[in-house]
Amino acid sequence: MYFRPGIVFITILLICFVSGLNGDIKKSPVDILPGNIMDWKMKDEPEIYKGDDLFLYINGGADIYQEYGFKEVYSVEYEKEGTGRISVEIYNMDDPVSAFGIFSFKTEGKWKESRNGNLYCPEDYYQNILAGNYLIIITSIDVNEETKKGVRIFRKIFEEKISGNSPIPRIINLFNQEKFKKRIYFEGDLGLMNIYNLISTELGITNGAAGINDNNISLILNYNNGKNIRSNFSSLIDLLKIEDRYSEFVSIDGGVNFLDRKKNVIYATTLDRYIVIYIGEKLDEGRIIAKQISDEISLIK
Amino acid sequence: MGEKISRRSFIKTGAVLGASSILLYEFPKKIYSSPKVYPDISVVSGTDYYDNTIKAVASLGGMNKYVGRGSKVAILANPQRPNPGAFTSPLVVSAIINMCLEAGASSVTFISWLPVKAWEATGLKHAVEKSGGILEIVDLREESFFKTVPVPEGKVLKEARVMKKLFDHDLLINVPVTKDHLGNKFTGTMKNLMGLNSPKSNRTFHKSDWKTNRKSIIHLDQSIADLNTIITPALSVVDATEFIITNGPFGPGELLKPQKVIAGTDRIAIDSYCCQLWGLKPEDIVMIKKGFEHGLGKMDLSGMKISEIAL
Repeated sequence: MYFRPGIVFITILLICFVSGLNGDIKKSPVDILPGNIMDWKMKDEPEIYKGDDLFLYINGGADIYQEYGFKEVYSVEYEKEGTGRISVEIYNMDDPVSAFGIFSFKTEGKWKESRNGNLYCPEDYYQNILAGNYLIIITSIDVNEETKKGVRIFRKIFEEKISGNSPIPRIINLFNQEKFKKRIYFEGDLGLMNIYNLISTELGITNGAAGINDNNISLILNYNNGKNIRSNFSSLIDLLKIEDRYSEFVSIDGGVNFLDRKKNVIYATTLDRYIVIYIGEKLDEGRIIAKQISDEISLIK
Repeated sequence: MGEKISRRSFIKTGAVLGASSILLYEFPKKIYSSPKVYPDISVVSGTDYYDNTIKAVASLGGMNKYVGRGSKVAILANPQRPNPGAFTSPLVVSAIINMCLEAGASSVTFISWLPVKAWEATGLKHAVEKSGGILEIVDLREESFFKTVPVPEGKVLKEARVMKKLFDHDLLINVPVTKDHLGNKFTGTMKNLMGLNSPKSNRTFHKSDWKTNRKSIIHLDQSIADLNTIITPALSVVDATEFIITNGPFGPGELLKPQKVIAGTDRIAIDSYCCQLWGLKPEDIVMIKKGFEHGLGKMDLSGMKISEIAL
């Protein structure tokens, strides 16, 4: 049997490194951040930003983290001489659902499952990992083949060190993964606004999910405000009718069909305890998607 | 062996030259006195981002149209994060410094409250110093570096806290990188001016308790537009060479590489142009609409003269 010496060497190093750390995320992310990862050396001590100070770290980018529920972030940079830099950021969110929310927002639902139950999303020069309360972002700052390779190695190492239960909220599973290119979980107006600018007044939802394809966006809105779903639906439609960007409202099959300013067809209806809104090109497509979501609700029940 | 000139081509060339001479002779004053009409926005694309920047400003009439001899120039660039596509390109910055110095500026100073670490990590500190610029950084937590400035036209922002150093200069050149922004969907010239306002004041743009309901989102956009009513850059040069179109403003995110540099003085028009580079519509960006409502510029580009050059 033939072994490539380079691969054997890296594997041995990885095993030694991982077993040597024996870390536990419950201590603190700082405790599991190694000084060196193979030839990659930590440049400075990790920076830590807690609560409101996130604003000092990422300025206006902080709002969306706060909407999902943010606790603290650890940020550190590694450098390999003559190769480049890799940054590692570990965001500690309020709970696994908050962490999933920001993870789904950043990865747009293109995640894969790791052997240890984490979720991860590999991109060309960076990777997002979800592990329980933690979102870990590993980025090749100086983008080249060596730093990209480094990012892949880092992911394996951090995945071994940080694992946690990453439950996927029920509402996002109402979008069948095979039928939607992107799936995003949101908890407020800012998350929704970044997907589709539905309404210019406060929506008051508890949470929601979006299923996105090239030519359509579908939204599921969940209200936990004590009112029944038909009452929430009527209020929402009344608010949408006030907006000058929507027109041609027609009641249809217990739902409402109308157009936005760009002449997108919008179909809104209620399913179980949710409001479902389709924004796309064809009313029939909206009805089909509503039926699919209805089927998923029945399956989950 | 030299190229053989045929009799026919000789006559043809001679005829053209002759006609030109006559035209120049007959109408020299008319030709040389007609005022040059410059574009409202200049867009230059190409793989050399330094050259794109030089050409973009040259197309507007050159840097000496904005920078007087002996003037002190303040520059606002964006070194926010070294992630690809999240900061102003050092090549764009170098080109601007060189143009300002050639125009006779006595100093070209980058003012910022972002830490020197950010300037180093992005390569911007090196670019500024190597090109003969000056980098002046103030402590972001020290409010004494900022001055209270009333915002008389502000709809929600009544007072800003502007970096005192700005007032030591004769003009400001705004050099943002355009990119995605999860708070506003878009960032460009208008949003970049928050880099001159104190972080403590900027924090008030975002509603307390991190509320992210519609009112708070609009409050942020209105605050940015209000801030723009008290600071008018002499020139804006936007880096749209490589930038993130997801997960902004910090990244990492999906990169778009239009390799463009956009220059002009109408910040609303420039932002309206930039957001369309990745399929956004100006009328959907609340900040741009609010800036337009303040009369800061034009949102409708159809009547504007936009020069687009590919190098």
